[in-house]
Amino acid sequence: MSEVIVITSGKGGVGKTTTTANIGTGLALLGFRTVLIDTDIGLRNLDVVMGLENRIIYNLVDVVEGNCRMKQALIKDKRYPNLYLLPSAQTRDKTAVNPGQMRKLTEDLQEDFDYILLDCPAGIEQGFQNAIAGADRALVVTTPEVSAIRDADRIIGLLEAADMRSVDLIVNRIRMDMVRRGDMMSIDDVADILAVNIIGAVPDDEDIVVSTNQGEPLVDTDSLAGQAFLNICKRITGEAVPLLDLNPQRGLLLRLSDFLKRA
Amino acid sequence: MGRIFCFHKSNSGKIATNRLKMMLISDQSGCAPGLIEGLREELVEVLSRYIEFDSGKIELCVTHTECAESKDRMSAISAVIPIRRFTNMRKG
Repeated sequence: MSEVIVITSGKGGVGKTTTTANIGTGLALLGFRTVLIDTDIGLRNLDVVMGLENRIIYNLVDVVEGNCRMKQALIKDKRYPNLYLLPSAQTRDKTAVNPGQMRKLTEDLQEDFDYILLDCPAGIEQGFQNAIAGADRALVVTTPEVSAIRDADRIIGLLEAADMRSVDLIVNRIRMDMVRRGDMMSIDDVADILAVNIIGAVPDDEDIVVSTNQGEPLVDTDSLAGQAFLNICKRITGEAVPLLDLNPQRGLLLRLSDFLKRA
Repeated sequence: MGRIFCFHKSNSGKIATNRLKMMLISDQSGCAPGLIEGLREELVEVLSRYIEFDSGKIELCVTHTECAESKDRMSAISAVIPIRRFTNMRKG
């Protein structure tokens, strides 16, 4: 059975696109036929994070308007046999498609794919309405910051009002050193405030910047963020995976300096 | 340890800069990046019949100018191809 999942957040810059790229790649790695749809019309970026930007000829709006067939617009990722991308249009805006067309588009894709992931634009306007229209399930991405959590709460409310079947939370860019110092909300703090299931937490990791520079998702690397994303993928498929220990392996020197600071 | 003492220097920042240049060409010209990439590949194919050059060092850029006569804004695409040497025989 195929599942349509929207990745959303309300606030911009919390890591929706990076999350979509890594979860999509992870699901493909686990053997599921997966397609990623960039619904951010006018500000497309998922292609860049995936490293597939040079292969775009047709896009989502071309498919909706009938300028090309779906097969012509889908970009097959040569690195992962099960992974496809439907890129967004860069020279149009959110009014170029409507929720009914998006619902039709995702229905068509369900015949060929196990997972259909929609990367939602920031905001709660038409772009958001388009992205959630065909989705059965939502993953809300937030960071442990006041502004992002407030927006996540608003988005969760809107998703519930739209009868979204299931809503889970991803806490991104968590820094365990700051949580330990008491300068950052912990995963449990966020869970208490939002009262929603947490499907995973991803540490703030320099490797994410390098991976985006190179256009190579890091879900199949041994970085801590990569492992966190792969665990989220497994939980999406229904596997019970315990939460990852986000405390990185620290060398003796760093531990000594921590100890001296505390003393 | 390598990271701390900068023994290992990563080049992903440079990769990012080069990728961005190509993206901006596409964005500013409104031309699909797949088509620009196709243009680049075919340029390399045709030019290599006449000259020897490093295909990785081709620079494409889009400039916006005003046409001298009609004052219309127009875009121009230009390619800089550092030549290693001219070949004396036409290949292919």
